[in-house]
Amino acid sequence: MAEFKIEPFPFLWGKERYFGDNYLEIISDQSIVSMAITRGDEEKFSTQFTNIFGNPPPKPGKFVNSIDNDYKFLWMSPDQIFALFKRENLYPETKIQKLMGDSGFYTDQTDNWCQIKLTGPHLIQVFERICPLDLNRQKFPVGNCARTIMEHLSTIIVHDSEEGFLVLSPSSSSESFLEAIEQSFINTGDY
Amino acid sequence: MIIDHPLLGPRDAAEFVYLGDARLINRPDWASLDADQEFYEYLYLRDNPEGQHKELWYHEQGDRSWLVVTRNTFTHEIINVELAREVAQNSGR
Repeated sequence: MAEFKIEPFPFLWGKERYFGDNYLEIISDQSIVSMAITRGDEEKFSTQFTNIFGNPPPKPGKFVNSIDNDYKFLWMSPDQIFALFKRENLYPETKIQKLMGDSGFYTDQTDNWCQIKLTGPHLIQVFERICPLDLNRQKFPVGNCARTIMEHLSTIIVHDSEEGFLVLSPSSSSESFLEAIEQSFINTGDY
Repeated sequence: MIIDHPLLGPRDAAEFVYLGDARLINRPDWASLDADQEFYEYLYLRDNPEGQHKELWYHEQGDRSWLVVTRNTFTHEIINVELAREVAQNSGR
């Protein structure tokens, strides 16, 4: 009997596109691990987090990088953080669990999200058509992240550099999400 | 309508789901001698004020927190926004 080996395949894999000076790229080599903080262990979690990653956990509406820049941590809710880091294997949650111990619960979320990196000068105009959040640089500077919607689709938007944004959306509707962004580029420029 | 989230600042009402009267936080004690009457009132009786009203809103497309929003039902002005978790804790729950 044939032996089948099943491996996950990243959503929207390999897609990239220029819209004038703006560039859209699918991120396929980044793991996402949910860190849920055990109630009553908030201080223990924070101390362990700071000792391991060199910076304290992110504040509401913010993200922080580990001191070696290998990890990015997104604040999701008062007791949940998403950890983003380079994909090494199919079990990224075990890496975080080994580092953090028993002060939280860690689950692999990688296959639940598509990840799109956008860079370029016209992204605010593209997003303001489809997102209710005020992404003006004064209101949403580099270092901010937020869970919100674009069109009607759940979105996590991360202002991770002066050049652009990282956006995440549920993988089940990733094609629609990509189309919403591409259509907004078309609606706001001569592409 | 804009809801000024206590942790995240102004957010569009489209990110939220409305549940209703914030008195739902105060679930009666099942062991109370008047539990039947208290649960009847808890489940079925609602005030319908024209004016200030405390309501539960869920930030579904955001940080998944429950909020207690004090809103004027006549003008739709939002007077106050609190985390439901803190409202419950402050009331001894």
